Parts: sequence; structure tokens; C-alpha cells
Amino acid sequence: MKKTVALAFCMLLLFVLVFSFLIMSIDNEADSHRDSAFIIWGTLDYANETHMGGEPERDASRNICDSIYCLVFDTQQYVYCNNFWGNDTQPNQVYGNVSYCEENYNFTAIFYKGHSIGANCDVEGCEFGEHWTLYAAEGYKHEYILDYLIHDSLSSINHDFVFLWTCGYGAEDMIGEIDKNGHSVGMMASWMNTTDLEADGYATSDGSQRCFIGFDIYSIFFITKTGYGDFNYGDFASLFFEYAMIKDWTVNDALDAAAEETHLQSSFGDCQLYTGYLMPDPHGPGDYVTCYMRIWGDGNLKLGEGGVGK
Amino acid sequence: MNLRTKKVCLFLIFIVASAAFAYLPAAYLTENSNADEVLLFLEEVVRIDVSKYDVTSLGTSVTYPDWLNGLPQVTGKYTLDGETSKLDVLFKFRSGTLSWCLMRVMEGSPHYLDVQSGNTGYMAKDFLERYQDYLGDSELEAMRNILDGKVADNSTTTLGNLKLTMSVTSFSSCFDWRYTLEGTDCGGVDVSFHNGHFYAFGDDRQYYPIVITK
Repeated sequence: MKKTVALAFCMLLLFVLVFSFLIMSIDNEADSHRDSAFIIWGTLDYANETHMGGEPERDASRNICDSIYCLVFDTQQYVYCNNFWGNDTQPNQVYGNVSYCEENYNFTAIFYKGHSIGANCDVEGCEFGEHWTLYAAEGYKHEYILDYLIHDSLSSINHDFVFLWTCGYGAEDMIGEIDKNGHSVGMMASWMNTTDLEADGYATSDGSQRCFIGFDIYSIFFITKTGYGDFNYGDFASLFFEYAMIKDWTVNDALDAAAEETHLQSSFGDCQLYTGYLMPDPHGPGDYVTCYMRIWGDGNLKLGEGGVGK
Repeated sequence: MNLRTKKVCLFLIFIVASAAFAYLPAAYLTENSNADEVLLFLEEVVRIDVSKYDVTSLGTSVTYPDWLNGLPQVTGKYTLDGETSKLDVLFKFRSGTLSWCLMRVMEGSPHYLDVQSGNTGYMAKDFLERYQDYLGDSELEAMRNILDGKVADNSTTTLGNLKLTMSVTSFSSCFDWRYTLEGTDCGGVDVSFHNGHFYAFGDDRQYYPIVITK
């Protein structure tokens, strides 16, 4: 009888050990990326149906940003994960949040969905002329999110992944610059404090472990169909983040897997986001311009595990 | 050890084994067969000399996307580390069939089993011939036939209900064989080449109709 009890005790002990080991190994995975932030911003203004997509685009933007937030949050790979799409996208909240993330995290990933517009700045000695802004919640003719005020909020330079689904800021002549006084213009320069990233980080990753994604000329609507099955570009955006969260997957891997699923072609390099797509030109009725999604910097950057590979 | 003791031991062993298996990702159970299939594809169709590489699985994930009507999609990544080259390989199995494979050359130049043609038209033809042998699928004969004629860059050739689109960009050369039904694209096979190497392949013939009805 004593032998039976001892044996049962040993087996229970073994069970507890195996169980604890498995639980601890899972917890350790979650703990290994405690220093990363993932933030979503987005405007509510889709008033212009032709050039902003109207209410369907606004609804799609809300839904897709929500789904991106949920899938990133559920991975528990980013200790600070927030979706500020909508009313919370206020200029001061953006600057404050940039500052907060710079001070508290080692790696910050940003996704913004909205629109772009030029603006002037009142900084003494500014020689840039026009500055570039993002629409805040209320949008047109309200206070905009200014490039140089984002830059003024940087400290540790940890915004290593910035994806702006808005017009223009992925173009070579829009990446911006930083003057000798630390005054900046342009979104890449302002969010990431650099203008040195490789222009085609998909084909030629620069190993910088920093990546900026933007659009050259006009961004494509989430509600625009990709031409394959019933997929649209909102599906592409959502799938991109789904794949990017897989451990050991790179930005390029996620772009390829998302493109393959939503396009006729089998890679991002073969699909129209990379090769060029046509958008109506608001400056020339009836005309179309060729636009691109541009991947700057390091397409081999890994977002999984909170960018811990960085 | 009496019968009761044996029963207790067996019961406890069963619990320990069950607990351990419960924590194994479902994908793990199919990982090995997926690896075999992907490596076989790389060897027999792309003609990579897999024996020259150390292969590491970076894990797989299984999803059941709505658009596949509940069918499983297994997605994964392998790295192939050789002395002079390094390759990243992505893949997707849909309903158990390899439907996507992409090979990114990370370092060096891939080890091939044969000398590769420098002409993308021949590369596409060879790829299709080997893919036909790999699948044992006579349907691909029609796709091969359409390549027999000269195919110009950035052109579309139609033969019956089969359409071949060949496009050349600054990044790749892409061949897409697609069935059409009353002018609507249906399932097909596509392959692209980048820097003279196989880059990406897709075969959606088995599930494309499901996509239309999403």
C-alpha cells in the first residue's frame, strides 16, 4: 500500500513538473517582448466620396483597424497595444503618445489610415516652406498632425516601423529632411529621424532593422477590389499584419503572403501595389496616375515578438 | 505490483501523456509531412539541391479562412542554410495541397541539381514540365502547349479557354496560365522569376471557385 502511495505521489510530482515546464515556457515567450508598443491612428473624415471613398471607406477603415488591433493584441507580443482610430486621433494625443512610446519602449510600430495635406509652420527660421501633415479625427480644415511636431516628440528614436496608409508620403521627394537645428519636414524624417533608408526595402533590404511603408502619389482605398476573388485592400492590410505577427516572419514575408492571398499574383513584387496601380487624378478629370506602395529600409525587419529581433 | 497499483500507474501515465500532447501545437503534427512536401517540390520542380542545405522549420500556423469555406490553410516558413547560400522559403497548403511557394535568396546563389537556363521562357517551360511530373497532372499539358509558340514580353495569348499572361517588370518575369469561363478568370497556375532564379509559384485551380462565392 505504501509503495502504491509513493508511486502515485511520484507520478503526480512528474505531472506537476511537466505541466509547470510547459506553462513556464509559454509564459517566457510572452515575457520576452515586454518593451514594444503598437499604435493605430486614423481619421474619421471620409467626406469626399470620389477622393476619400466616402462612408464605405470610413466604415472599412474602422473595421480593418479594429481587426488589426485585435489580432496584434491577441498575440500578446506588444505590451502596449492601442487602437486610437477615430475620435482619439487628436494632434496633441499623437505627439504625447509618440513621446510616451519613445520614453518607455524599445520598439514602436505605427499604423495610420487617413489622408495627407500640406501646411505652413510658424517656427522661426524654417526654410522648408511647405510642411506635411496627417488628418486628425475631424479632418479637413481642422487641426492637423504636423510632421515637425511629431519629430519634436522623439527622444530615443524607437519608432522603427511606421506604416502610413495615406497619400504621398512614400514618394522619394516626400521622405523629408531634418535641418541643422533639428527642425524636420516629411513623415519618414519626422517619425523615424532618418532620411537614409533604402528606397526599395522589398527588393534590397538595407539591414537597418527599420522600415517605413507609404504610398507614392495616391494611396489605394481599403474598399477597392484587388481583382482576385472578392478581396479588397482592407483584406490585404489586415492579412499583412496577421502574417507579420508570426514568429520569424519578416515584413517582406508578410507582404508576399498577404499579396498572394488577395491578388492573382503570387508575390508582393508581382502585384500591382509594387508594379503600379492607376488612380483617378483629382487635378485632371478623366486622367489617371500610376501609384505605388513603397517599402523603405529593411524588409527583413521582424514585427513578431514585438520587434524583439531588432 | 498488484493489479490496483498497475491500474493507478497506467492512469497517471495516461494523464501525464495527455497533458503533454495537449500542449503540442496542432500544426506540429503535420509539420513533418509539410516539410517533406515542400522540400520535394524544391528538389523536383525548382531543382534545388536540398542535400546541400541545413533545413530549419520556423514553425507553421493553421487557419480556416472564411473564403476557403472552412478548409484548412497551413502557412509556414523554412530556412535553407548552405555553405555558400541561404534561402528563405514560404509556403501555404490549402486543403492539404501545396498551393503557394516563394523562395527568397537571402545570400549567395542557390545550389541547383542541373544547369539552369538563363532564358525565362525556357525556365517557365521547364518549371511547368517538372511540375506536371511532380503532380502527375495531365491537365498541365495544355499550359505547356501554349508556351510552345513564341511568347512576347508583356503579352497575353489565348488558346481556347486557357489564357497565358506574360509580364515583365523591373522586379520579375511572371507567367500566369489561367482558365477563363465566359471572359471571367478562374483557377490557374503562375510562376515568377527574379534575378534569374525561381521566385514564386501559385496554383489555385483546386479552390478558386470557392473564392468567387466568398
